[in-house]
Amino acid sequence: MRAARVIGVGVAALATLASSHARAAAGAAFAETSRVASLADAVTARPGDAGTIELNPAGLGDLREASVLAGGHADYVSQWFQRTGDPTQQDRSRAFGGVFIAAATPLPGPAWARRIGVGLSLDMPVQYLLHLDIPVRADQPISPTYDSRPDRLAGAFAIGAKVVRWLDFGAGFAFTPSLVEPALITYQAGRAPDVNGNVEVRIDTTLDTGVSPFVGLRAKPLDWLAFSLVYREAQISRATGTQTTTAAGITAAGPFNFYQMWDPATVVVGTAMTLSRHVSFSLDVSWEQWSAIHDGFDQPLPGPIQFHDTVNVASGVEISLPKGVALRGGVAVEPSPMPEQTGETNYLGANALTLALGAGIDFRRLARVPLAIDLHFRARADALESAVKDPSSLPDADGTLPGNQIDNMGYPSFRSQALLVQGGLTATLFIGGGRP
Amino acid sequence: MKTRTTLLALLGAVVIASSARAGFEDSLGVGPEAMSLGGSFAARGGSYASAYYNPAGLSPRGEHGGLLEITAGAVYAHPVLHVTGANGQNLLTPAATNGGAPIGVPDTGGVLLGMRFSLGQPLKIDGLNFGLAMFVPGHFLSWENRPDDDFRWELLDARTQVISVHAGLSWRINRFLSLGVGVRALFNTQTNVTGQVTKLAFDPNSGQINVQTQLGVDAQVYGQATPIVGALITPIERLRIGVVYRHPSYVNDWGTTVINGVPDLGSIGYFSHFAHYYEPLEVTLAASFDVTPRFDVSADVTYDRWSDAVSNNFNFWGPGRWGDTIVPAFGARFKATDALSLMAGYRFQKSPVDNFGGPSNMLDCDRHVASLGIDLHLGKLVRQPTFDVHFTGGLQYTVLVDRSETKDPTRFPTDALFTSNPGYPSYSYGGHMVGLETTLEARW
Repeated sequence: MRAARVIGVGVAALATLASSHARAAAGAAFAETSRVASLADAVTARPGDAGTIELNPAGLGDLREASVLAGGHADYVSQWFQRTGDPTQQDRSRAFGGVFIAAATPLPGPAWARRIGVGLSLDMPVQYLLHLDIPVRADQPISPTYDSRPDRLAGAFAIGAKVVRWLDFGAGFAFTPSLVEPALITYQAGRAPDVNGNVEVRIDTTLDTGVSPFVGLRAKPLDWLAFSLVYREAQISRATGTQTTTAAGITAAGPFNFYQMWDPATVVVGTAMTLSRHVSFSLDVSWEQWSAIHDGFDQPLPGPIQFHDTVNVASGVEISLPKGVALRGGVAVEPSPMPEQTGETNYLGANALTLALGAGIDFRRLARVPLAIDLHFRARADALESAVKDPSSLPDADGTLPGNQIDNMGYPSFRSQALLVQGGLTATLFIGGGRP
Repeated sequence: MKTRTTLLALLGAVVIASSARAGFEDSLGVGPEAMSLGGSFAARGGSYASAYYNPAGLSPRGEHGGLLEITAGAVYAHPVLHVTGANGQNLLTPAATNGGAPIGVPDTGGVLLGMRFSLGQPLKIDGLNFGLAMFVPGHFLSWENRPDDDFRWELLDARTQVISVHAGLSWRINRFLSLGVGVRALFNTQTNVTGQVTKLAFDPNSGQINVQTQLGVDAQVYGQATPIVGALITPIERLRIGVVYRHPSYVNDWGTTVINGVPDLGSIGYFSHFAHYYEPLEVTLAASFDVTPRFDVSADVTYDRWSDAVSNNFNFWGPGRWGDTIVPAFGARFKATDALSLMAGYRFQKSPVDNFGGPSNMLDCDRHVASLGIDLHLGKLVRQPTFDVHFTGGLQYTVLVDRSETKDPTRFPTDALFTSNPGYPSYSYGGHMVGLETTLEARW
């Protein structure tokens, strides 16, 4: 059984460097740059920068010079869960945060090469590089949005090109590793003076480098109007292997399969409009294929509790003021992919509304310094989730007793709610060297 | 006379040196330039690779204004190793599956990424630069947990199979002195496993009790930053002196397992602890000198405090198997034309590991490492100097000097453990390895 713990290590390692939900510089959840976060992620049809390579790699075709950006965010999620009849709420609140670095540049050389841009980005949580919790009980309350997703290192690479004056195209990939981990644990009596020393552990841990591709288009038929189309492949990691534990006359052997979907397959259609010399507006509509999600043991969720696909809407407004100052605001609506939790599972989450505000200063105009600073504040409020269990859909907890024994953690009903608040800062350094 | 004294000192360093560094950085080198120069890079600069070799080298003398360099390339290495038993049989690391085939040391393949840019430009601070060097192998990471008495190439097998990240920040205080700090990014893991017995069955044929469990996991990976600090002194334009300190590091891998529902026992569990990728405390003293405008040489001496090292199982069979080492490394570069430079290097790495006839079978050999390389300025080659792109290639050949081990019964707790040891009664081992690195670097 000693092998069992190693699976956890593998699963932990499995997710390192994968990508995820709310797309950031590289893909980690809630780790967007301040410009992107303050526009509620509605940026796929806007000109790109180093912080948007995963949102729409076509934006790399817009680059005029090399830039490097770095920043961070601090987050607090207030979340509670209460089963009917329990005297108090179970507080699941926590704080987290992260930092990121990204670089993007047009290629050097002749004019045709400078129409091509490349970008690389890395998101890194400050507390964990990864935190993954797959409970042994299927009815353990889990928040797919807030539990593990923000606690993950993510990396992405992309290339984009200005195909013609009004059309940009880009493609890239995010890292989605998967793990293979055979384990053999043997008890050899007399090997060492202490019992623990008699255990021989042989485990091969291999985290293979998989990639999840994404592609994007950005068309600008008119000076004031742009459209975008983006597809991102689902980002899924798996941990598989066999474990064999032998001690005296007892043998525990068998395969294991753990599963984590970081992001469903997504299609985004967006538009951006320059309404006046100072005001621009953008709108993104995203379809997300949540119905493909499996449980933590890589089993499809049965019909009644299967997630459904969602359509999210996000929009952002940017007001450009003199001296390189910009004010931004955004709003996003995200329907919950989860059905009412009437069955064995207790997934936490509900329809969510995001409001964001931000500001930025480009010091190139203010002081001829090649630096821009952006700030943002964002709140994501989940609606109240409530679920009433259907006893007929709950498993019998003890088959040795008559009747259907129920020990579900959400029975007979539960309520839950969450609110995320976030503040962040991004610094962009313009290196120069691009096309005029 | 002065030259002769210097040569004698260098030769002395080779003779007394016992060396070994390991991991991707030390087995192959961070980038083809450093590989080609035998890893003698602490007194050189102007490269993303300085983030590892000497962070102060990110801001060398003579650079001014804004800069951006982005590098991408490939790494490949192929080891050919042997462990031969007393009867001539080939010995390998046992598999981690029941009845599985033994395994050898895999090839190393991966992507190398680098970046260096001026961080001080917007702040009007000349010579404040940032550098990043990253090696991403075909596997993000790969490690093998084995008892220390299994055959295992201690400093080769998994150590080049893990992602390697170095970031550095440097400031050129004046034209004589640059200081730099960097970090080597690592991780620690904690894994708590809970399980529930779901099925028990007695097999009357084998007499075994077969157990099935449902497992859950709470796994956490923590970042770990190990510091590197360095200074680059340029007393005269042609001479550079580097001093570097690297803090020791290793991946700490621990956790608990609790299985519930075990008949008659209720719950059973245990605590476990492993170590991976140990890197010792290192101090490097180096110098490089421009002999002519087209020819420069460098020499590095690195002290590695391996005596603090831990094996995969935290030196299960007792301390004393690791010893401190000193690594001498030399490099030379000849600028044949404006577009072409040729490089060569050599270093000697004595093994820090010795099993002394005891139960452990941790394999490692003294290494002679020779290398060659070229650097091509593609823009100058095609007569477009604004196309500032370099191709750099390095080739390295490592000889792992044959070594033998004879088991000593006085070092074993019991006769049974002596005769059942995988290395009983004796064996020899050695081999060689070829490594190749290539990059394209664009500069703005």
